[in-house]
Amino acid sequence: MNNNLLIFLIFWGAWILIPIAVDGVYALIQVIVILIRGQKPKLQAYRLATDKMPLVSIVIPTYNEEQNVDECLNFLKTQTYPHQSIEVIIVDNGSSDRTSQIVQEHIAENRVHPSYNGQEQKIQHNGQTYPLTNHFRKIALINYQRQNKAHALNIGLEQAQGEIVLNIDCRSRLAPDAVYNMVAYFERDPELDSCTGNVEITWRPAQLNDQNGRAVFFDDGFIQQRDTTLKEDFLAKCQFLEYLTSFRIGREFQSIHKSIYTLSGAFSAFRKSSLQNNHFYPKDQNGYLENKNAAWYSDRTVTEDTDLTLSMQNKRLKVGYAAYSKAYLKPVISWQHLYAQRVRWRRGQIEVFGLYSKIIKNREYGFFGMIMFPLTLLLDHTLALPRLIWTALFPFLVLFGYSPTIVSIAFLVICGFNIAVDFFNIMICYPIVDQETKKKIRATLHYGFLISIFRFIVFYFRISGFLIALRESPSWTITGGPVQRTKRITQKMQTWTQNIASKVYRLIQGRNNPPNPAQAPSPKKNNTPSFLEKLHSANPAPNIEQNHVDGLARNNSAPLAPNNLARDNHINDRIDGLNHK
Amino acid sequence: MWQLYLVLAAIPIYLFLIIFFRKHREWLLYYVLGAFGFTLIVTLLVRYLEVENILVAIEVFHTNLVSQFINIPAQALSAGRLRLPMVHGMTILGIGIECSAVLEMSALVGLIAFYPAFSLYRKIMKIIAGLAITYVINIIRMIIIVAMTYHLGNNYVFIAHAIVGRLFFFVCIIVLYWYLITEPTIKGIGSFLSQGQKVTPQTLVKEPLGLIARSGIFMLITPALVGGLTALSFMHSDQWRTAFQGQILPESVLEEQKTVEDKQIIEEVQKTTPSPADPEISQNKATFLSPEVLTDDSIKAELLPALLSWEGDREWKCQVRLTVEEKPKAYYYYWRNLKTGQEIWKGPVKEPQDKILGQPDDLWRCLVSPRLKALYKAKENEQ
Repeated sequence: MNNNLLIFLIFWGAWILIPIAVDGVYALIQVIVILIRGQKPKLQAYRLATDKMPLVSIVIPTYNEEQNVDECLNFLKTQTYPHQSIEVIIVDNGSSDRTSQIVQEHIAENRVHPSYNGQEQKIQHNGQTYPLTNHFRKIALINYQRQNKAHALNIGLEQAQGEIVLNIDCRSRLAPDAVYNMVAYFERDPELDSCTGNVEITWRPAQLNDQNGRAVFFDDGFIQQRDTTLKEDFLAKCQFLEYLTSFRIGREFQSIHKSIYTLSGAFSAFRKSSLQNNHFYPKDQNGYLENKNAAWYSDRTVTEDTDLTLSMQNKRLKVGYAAYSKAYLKPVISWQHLYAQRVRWRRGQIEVFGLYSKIIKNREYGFFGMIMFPLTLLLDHTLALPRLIWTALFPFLVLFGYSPTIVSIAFLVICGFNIAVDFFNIMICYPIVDQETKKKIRATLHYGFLISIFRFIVFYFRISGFLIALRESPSWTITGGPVQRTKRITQKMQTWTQNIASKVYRLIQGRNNPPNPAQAPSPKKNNTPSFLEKLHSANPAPNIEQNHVDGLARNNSAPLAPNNLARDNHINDRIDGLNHK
Repeated sequence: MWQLYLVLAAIPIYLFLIIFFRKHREWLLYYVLGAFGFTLIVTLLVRYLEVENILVAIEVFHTNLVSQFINIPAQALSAGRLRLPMVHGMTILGIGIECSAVLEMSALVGLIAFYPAFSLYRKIMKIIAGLAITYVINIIRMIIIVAMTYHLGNNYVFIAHAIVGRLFFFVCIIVLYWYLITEPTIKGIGSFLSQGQKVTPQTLVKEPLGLIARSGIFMLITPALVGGLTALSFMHSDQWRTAFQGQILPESVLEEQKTVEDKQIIEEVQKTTPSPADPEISQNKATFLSPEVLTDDSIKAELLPALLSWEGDREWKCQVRLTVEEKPKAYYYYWRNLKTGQEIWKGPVKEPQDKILGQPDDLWRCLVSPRLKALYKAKENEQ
């Protein structure tokens, strides 16, 4: 029996076990490389000279972010970097909620020290207290009515005056020393052109907002936070562990080998001079530009950040990773949004990798072209195919003569192996992360048992992304998550089946008589609702809610016509807080 | 037979679901159900309609041919088996569901056929080429197993089959998936987007012409080679008859093929050979295993030379095997008719996961009934 089980497991389980094992081995290799060649803590202690505090621009694209924008800006107010050397540029992409109003309130408050009931406003985060301070050089709001994140980002980058330009999401909460450390990276390495920060998911309670989207304060000035639900907790902690391997390990490993292929939209930074000297999408090639001098992000794919990064790699610009410049990202806390996010990521990956497929196995690109690029595709696409089919086939091997006992035990062993690899991935991250993250790992270690379920579900989300990329128009909005879609499918199937059944029934009953061509067809023979009408009234079509991923909606926007490139007419005349050139 | 009817009944439901998901553009469900369902249905049909036997016979035939080519004296037998003479005895390797590659081939076809990209023509080309290449990979896998078993001994069958062969097959299939699916997908999408087009529900991602040209030749050559060589080898070899012979014979016919003498020996041995389950044996294990009953030396002196000499012209062959899996250890005789290659009798253990002791100095422990010993002697004296 043991021998039979072993043979069965190795033989058939290989299709599932090997891809999982490859993940674990790859993570181990990355950690070993990082331990040997990775960034050392002394980087964090790098102090900027007082005369080396360049102006930093923080660009934040927003769309219907009334739940997040206040918190995001509050966290910017905790930055240790001199606020006089920070300008904040919010590009609002035609929000229909109070996002603009909230930003305007912050603009109005910029010259005032934040207080509540005479108390200094404070945030408690990761067990520490951070006071909020204003007096940024400026906070500007650009209302860009046309919904296009890439263009919004380009406008923000164009308007940015700083030497270093940071690009963050509204869901990002920058650690108080994030800006400082990021600037330090650029100052230490004059050749660095762009850098992605260390993005870490946080499950800490989110800011409690009032009906206007502003923070609610305790009497002592602390911002109130709300508790998370069980589902939010589960999703947040699973995403934390997931980001641990992909970001903390993955990005640093890629950075060592100069093979970063995504500057995270949640937190990345550019040297403005590098941007000015490098235009990636000249207007005569695709005509997507707002301004011929602002030519960085493109909307030709749904992951403009990956597209930009590969463009930079293509031009041999230096792309780095700032392990000690941290942003805490609010997790996606619904399955529907998670589905939309992962579908978009995978779609974007396949689109961008397609655009830069010449890099695959191209020696000119060194490690990136020969190893990293094809390996990423191999892991994400090729190995996913046998895993996809054999996970479904596995239980049915009983039909081929294997005993149900052996198949069941083998299945359990595979699940156990999956859990073991997940634990392994978590544990090997431990030596290389900071103390704060170590604490979080200890707090979520038990999620090693649960994250396999999360990964299993997300695996199918990713496959969906690949498939949708092949047959559907690009869109940030995915109508409904898997649960809604399943319900919708079930209702559709029910309707379909009943349609067919009713047609067959009519056929049998001889009611399918051809209409008399001499007579105009009457819409109804009687006022009694038909069977199908009754059906539809009893089961109305589901109200499919638009899914706004990352707070930013997109539509299938056609590219700008070339003759509109000089200036986009959709930019609102009102640009608050921004000095016109 | 009921399984076959169940499969046939499942087909309309499967088709309904596939069409439904396709119509409503539920790509994930369409692809997963399509590929998986197709694989399952086709594999089950292939088995129940005994098409697998034909495939297995061809694989045995080809494996045998290639083995001969590399100086391994394998011999094709019926029922998907390959006989491999070893130093002490022989090994029969059987090709079952694990080595026939039916499942893997069906999976490949399913994954390509339901992939929501590429034209129908390209899909057909990929499927044909993919099947041919998978077949070749499978033959090479079996050659690896045969070669390792032949050169290293029966003890390495497990490693050869479950580890080395499997790993080789896995890696080759992944490489195949890369070139058939992943690379064309990436290049197709890239070509689309770089021309400023967007994927829409009305468009179909296709491979760029350069990739088609490069892979098209390969896709045409491989199946042509495999098919052509198969046809040629069938024409020039008699071994295929052995491979196919008996495939369609039911058990009763195989039973009838046993000679009268075979049956006598079976009966005799069954009567006289005690089973470890017999109370006499289980209660008297110490006595049973005592040197007075049999010893290594007695085996070496009496039986081993007889066994070693029973190659080639002998009609019957007795192998003695020691099972290592069962507790208590079971002993049994294993008779084979060397002319027909059929197992005449093995027992008393029904499914021994045995380990053939192939090395000359290995210990051979066997139960030898006095009656059987006499039979051995009688046979030898006759000849």
